[in-house]
Amino acid sequence: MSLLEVKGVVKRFGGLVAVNDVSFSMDEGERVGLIGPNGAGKTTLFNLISGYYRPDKGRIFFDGRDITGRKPYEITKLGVGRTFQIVKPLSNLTVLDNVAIGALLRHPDVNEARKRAEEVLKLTGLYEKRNMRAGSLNLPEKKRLELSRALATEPKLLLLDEVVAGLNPSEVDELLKLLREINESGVTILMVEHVMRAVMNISERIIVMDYGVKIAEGTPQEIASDPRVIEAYLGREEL
Amino acid sequence: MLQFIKEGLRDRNGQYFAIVAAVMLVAPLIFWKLDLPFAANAMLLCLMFSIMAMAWNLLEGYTGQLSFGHAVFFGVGAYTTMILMLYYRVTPWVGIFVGGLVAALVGLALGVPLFRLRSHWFALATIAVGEIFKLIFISWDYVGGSAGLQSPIVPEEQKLYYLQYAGSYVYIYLALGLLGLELLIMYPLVKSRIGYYLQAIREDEDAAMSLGINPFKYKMVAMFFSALFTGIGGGIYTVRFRFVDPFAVFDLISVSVYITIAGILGGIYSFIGPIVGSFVFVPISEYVRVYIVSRFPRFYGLHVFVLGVILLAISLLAPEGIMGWLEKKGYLRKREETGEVRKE
Repeated sequence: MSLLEVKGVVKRFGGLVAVNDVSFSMDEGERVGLIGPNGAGKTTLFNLISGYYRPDKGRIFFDGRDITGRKPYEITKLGVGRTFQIVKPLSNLTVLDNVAIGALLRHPDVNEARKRAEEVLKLTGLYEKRNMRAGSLNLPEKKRLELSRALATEPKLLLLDEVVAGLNPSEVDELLKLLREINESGVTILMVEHVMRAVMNISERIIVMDYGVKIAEGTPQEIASDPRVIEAYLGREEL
Repeated sequence: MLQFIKEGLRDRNGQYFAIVAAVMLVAPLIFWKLDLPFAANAMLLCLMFSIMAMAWNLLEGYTGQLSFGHAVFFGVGAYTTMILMLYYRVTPWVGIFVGGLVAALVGLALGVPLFRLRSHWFALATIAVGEIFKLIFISWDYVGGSAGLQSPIVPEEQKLYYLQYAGSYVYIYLALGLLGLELLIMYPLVKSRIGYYLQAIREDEDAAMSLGINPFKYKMVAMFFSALFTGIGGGIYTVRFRFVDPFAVFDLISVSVYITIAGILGGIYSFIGPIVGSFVFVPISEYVRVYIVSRFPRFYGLHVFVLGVILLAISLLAPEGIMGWLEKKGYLRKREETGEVRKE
């Protein structure tokens, strides 16, 4: 049985169809990349899965349950963690408290949650900065904080919205290694990413969107040579 | 218990707390001996506003919901205590707490529509709610209409039952006890999961939801305790002044805005900030009201002008309030550092 199943979801904003009849499914333990040009509807699709938007049509199933139209906090409780492309740190709280609040979901005792948060921060490499104000981190650190916080909720499925963007090449490699470790510990990963090197490297399967429609799906090799994908990114060759 | 006190006294904050508590307990005796009724009354008002500003700050400082309508809970608490005493002969020893509970229930009922609004829309709506309550009580005969309600002087043997004493001295101890009760409930609350969740909501509601937090539910929890203790503040007012009327207890400026200024002046990001703010702001305002305004009777509203000057001074000199200012100047440990010394 698949962990996540998206069936024909549609989301309109006024006259614009941001996500148009998109279907796909993910098995437990998979690493799937979601790519597409700017405005393709990737983030909208994330917001639909995580409950921030309600689809106009279609259904979404997670772990055998229909989660269509459920509230974001309910979906988090069921085991979907997410990061935000435009980072949303709890700015006036410390890095540790940011992550501890995520950990409180499964560990209601504050001291226990703080311990869990420390473990997560050691894993993501933010431990040294744990007592800093989250608002004073730089952007790549804030992205890692997003990841740490989502991890602290102990998700089965992790939705990552451009966590690699803004990192230098060696930081990218480090983060990809971390994502592999997280994946090997049993967390399924769906990631939106613009950095092709990263997404081609880590994904077992890639879904391509353009103008709200899913235009291709396959292994990184298949995707890289798919003429529809090349056209979406580079435009049609005029003869 | 003894062990707890011993450990508390080893900590520097614990020592400060013990000193302040001792001063508070002795001060009314000194005021009484030296016959300083004005000082005693000012101290009582400081404590009453401390209770309410701290309660208000659970919503503003912790949850990020700015209320200009806390006069509603103050008034409901004051009226409930009075009505129970006057119509049903219920002792205010019970009535004050019932008043708090009724205020808390009113808070929950108001929370349902109010928490659909965010940021300044919420603040504006709380002003409207306060004015609506004033109008309702003005035209409600059962609660005495615009004339309000007054409790009669009771014979000597009923003084304790009806909590009726001359001057403010006895009421200071009542208010101290209730402030102590509030600290005992609020401190564990803000240090628990709920306290963390409230702060997450203040910082970013979308991020909070992604961490499994239902913002509406936790705003209602904050509203409950905030209204509860503001209502208890109203009960203190009733027993001290034996007179409630809608213009006084539902007043936007001298109740709602006073609570707000006390909280902001002390520092909303500090647990005890609102108490500090009350003890700075209320004496100034009382002094201005009693001494300066009476000397210039033609300048009606002079005390409101003074409020404006104080607000201006806060925003220019100490935008994070007195506690934030002390922290910046290095007189207090920084919040970020205190995170480190938290006990395991």
